[in-house]
This record gives sequence, C-alpha cells and structure tokens, in this order.
Amino acid sequence: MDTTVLTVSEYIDLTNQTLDYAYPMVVLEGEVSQFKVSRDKYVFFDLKDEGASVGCFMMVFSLRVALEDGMKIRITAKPKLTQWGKFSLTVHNLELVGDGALQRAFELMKAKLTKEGLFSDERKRPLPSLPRRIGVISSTGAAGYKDFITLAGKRWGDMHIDVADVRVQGERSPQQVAAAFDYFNQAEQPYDALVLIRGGGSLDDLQAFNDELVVRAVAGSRYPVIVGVGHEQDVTLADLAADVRASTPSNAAEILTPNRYDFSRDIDLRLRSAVSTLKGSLRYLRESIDAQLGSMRDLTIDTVIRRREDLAGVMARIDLANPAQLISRGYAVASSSAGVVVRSVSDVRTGEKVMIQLSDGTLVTEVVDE
Amino acid sequence: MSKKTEQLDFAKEYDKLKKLLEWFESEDIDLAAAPKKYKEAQALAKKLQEYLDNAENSISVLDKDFDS
Repeated sequence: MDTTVLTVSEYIDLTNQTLDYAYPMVVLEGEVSQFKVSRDKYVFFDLKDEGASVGCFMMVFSLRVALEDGMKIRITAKPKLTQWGKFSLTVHNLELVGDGALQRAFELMKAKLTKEGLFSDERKRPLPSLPRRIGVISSTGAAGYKDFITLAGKRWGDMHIDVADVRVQGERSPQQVAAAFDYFNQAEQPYDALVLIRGGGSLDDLQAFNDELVVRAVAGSRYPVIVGVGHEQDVTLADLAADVRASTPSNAAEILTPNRYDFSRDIDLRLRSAVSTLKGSLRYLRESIDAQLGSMRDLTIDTVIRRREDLAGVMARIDLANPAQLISRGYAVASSSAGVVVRSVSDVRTGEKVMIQLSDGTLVTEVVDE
Repeated sequence: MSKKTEQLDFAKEYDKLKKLLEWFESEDIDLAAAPKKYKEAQALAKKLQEYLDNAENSISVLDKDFDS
C-alpha cells in the first residue's frame, strides 16, 4: 500500500476535511462543565455525560442564555481538530434541556438584566390614549393573534395595523422577532405602539420570550411595547421588559384600545350636560332679571312716597309764610294813605291816616299818639 | 382589509367637540351665540358617533421575510 507521508499540519487539515465530510454538524446533549468566558469574547466549556466529555467553543454574542455548570443543554456543533491537536466542537446553536435548566437560566438572565436596569419602572413609557398606527409582532397562524385582531376590531375602528409575521417559538424565533423590531424601529412613518403577542405554552415553548435577543429588542424598541403572552405560569423576561404587560393577547387588545361604545355614550352625555348647563344658565338669568325688575319697582314707589312727603313739608312751610294765612290769624298789614307799608312808628305822624288791612276788609284809622 | 369610512383625525375632531362643549360651561356665555354653537356641537357629535359606529381597522400583513 502506498503510504503518504504527511506533515502535522497536513494531517490536521485532512482530519478536518474528513470530519467536515462525515459530520458537518452534530447534535449532542450533555451537561455543562468548566464553563468560562475569556476576554469577554470567547466561551469555553466541556460537554459531558457520566463517561466522557468533549470541549466546546463559541463566541459570546452567540450565547443568548445564561449558562452555568451543571445545566443540561443540547448543542448543534461542528467538530474540528485545532492546530494544536485539540478536539473541539464549535457550537452553532445551543438550547437548554429540561425545566430545571430552563428555570435556572431564566433566573440568571433575569438577575443579569435587572442589574442593567432593563426592567426598571422609569423606563416604562405610557401608551397613547387614541392609537392610530400600530405594529403587531406575532405568528399570524396562531390563535393568540386572531383573538387580538378580533377583539381590537370590535373595540376600535380607527387604527391602521401593520403585522410582522414571525415564528414565536423554536430556534429561529428570537432572530425573527428581533428583526421585526428592527423593521419597525427604522420605519419612516412612526407607530403609536408595538404589540408582541403569542398564545400560551409550556416553559419550553415560551423560551424565545426569555431569549436575550428578544428581551433587548423589547427594551430597546423605539415605540412603547405591549407584551401579551397567554400563560398561567410566571412572567417571561419579555413581559418584564415591556412598557405594558398584558396577561393574554386579548387583554393586550383591551389595554391598547378604547371602547367605541363607551366613547359614543360619553359624547352623548357631554352633549346633554351642555344642554342642561345652558338651561340652568338661562333660568338663572331670567331669575336675576326678575329680581332686578322687582327691586327697580320698589325703588320707584319708595321714591315717590318720600318725595310726596318732602313736598308736603315744603307746602306746609309755604303756607305758614303766606300773608293771607298770617292775616287770618290776626296779624295785620298797616299801610299809609300813600299805600306804603308802615313798618316803624317813625313812618307816620300824629293825625295821619293809616290803613289797616284785615282778613275781611280794611280799617281807616288815625294816629292819635306815637 | 377595506375600510368603509375614511380615517378621520379622530383625536383632533374629538378635541374640537370637547372645547365646544366646555364653552357652554363657562361663566359668562354669550347666550345669543348659544344656539349656533349648539348646532355646531350637535353636528360634530353626530359625525364622530357615526365614525365610531362604522369605522373598521385596516390590517396589513407585511410582505417581508423576517428570517434572515
């Protein structure tokens, strides 16, 4: 047999070619051990079972779940022999296996993102009261989506809704959801809110909503986000990152939209209230006019009575000064024969004639003595 | 996907109605102007209520593959 002599490098290349041919990708399940991140870039861990272990490698940005020694995972990886003769699996996809692992990863990720402040109340934005332009991120085949569209349509008719049809579970879901958020963030025409919804499912089904990519997309969304995942268990990390959390897709529709019938009734009530206020104003005005007229009338009568009394007083005084009155009371007017009124004794001489006017005639008298 | 009614600027029109109706509550309203203002409010309210009754959301599924 012809034995080719290879250099070490050539052997390593040949082995890698063979591996590439035989196992372009393998899927393995095992337990994480010796997990470490080097220089914030390179992730190394061993994947092991009871009898064996194999080294794994990946870049940190590909790792979107929190890993810890002891967790059970499933990887899709490409085997290779490194230049230094080390056998390693380059991980292309990683999934948590079993509720225990899922729960643990959830807790770790939650702690990490809470520390970053992603879930803090200050970050939460309010929803618009009258939504006009909405983006929905969901799977159009899913029951949750239909429930949302139906209820939103019943409650409100003033919206334009753009729907990004994506997978809401499975391996490809996180990238698709993140891509949908990207699309809406960059759209020319702004949106009033985005709605991320899906129906209920197992902890495993909901994994995409705990994926770091999705959680960061929700937290970093340009527009307020409502997350509505229908489930009875605890919240997902996407729920925590949302501006508003709905308990189900239907609840998301209720939160987002006002009720058109309530609105219509409100308009009716406001109109009636305006009419009754107007009637009230008119009644008040009429009453106040009546009152004013009344007081004007009273004023006039009062004045007349008072004036009359004044007049009577004046007339009485005039009467008192009336010469005819005085004469009738015994006062007389004395005048000389020339007709000049005698006011003083020096006005007449003895023997002179003096006329005395009484009420019923005139006396002719003569001065006897002065 | 079709809409029976044109999309109104509902928020703006509703605001207009609210302001009109607030006028009736003010202290010294010009009673001479009241009948005309009321007719205006009534017409606007009717327009809004009709829109509320009949409008339907327009839904458009984006023609885009998000699987990059």
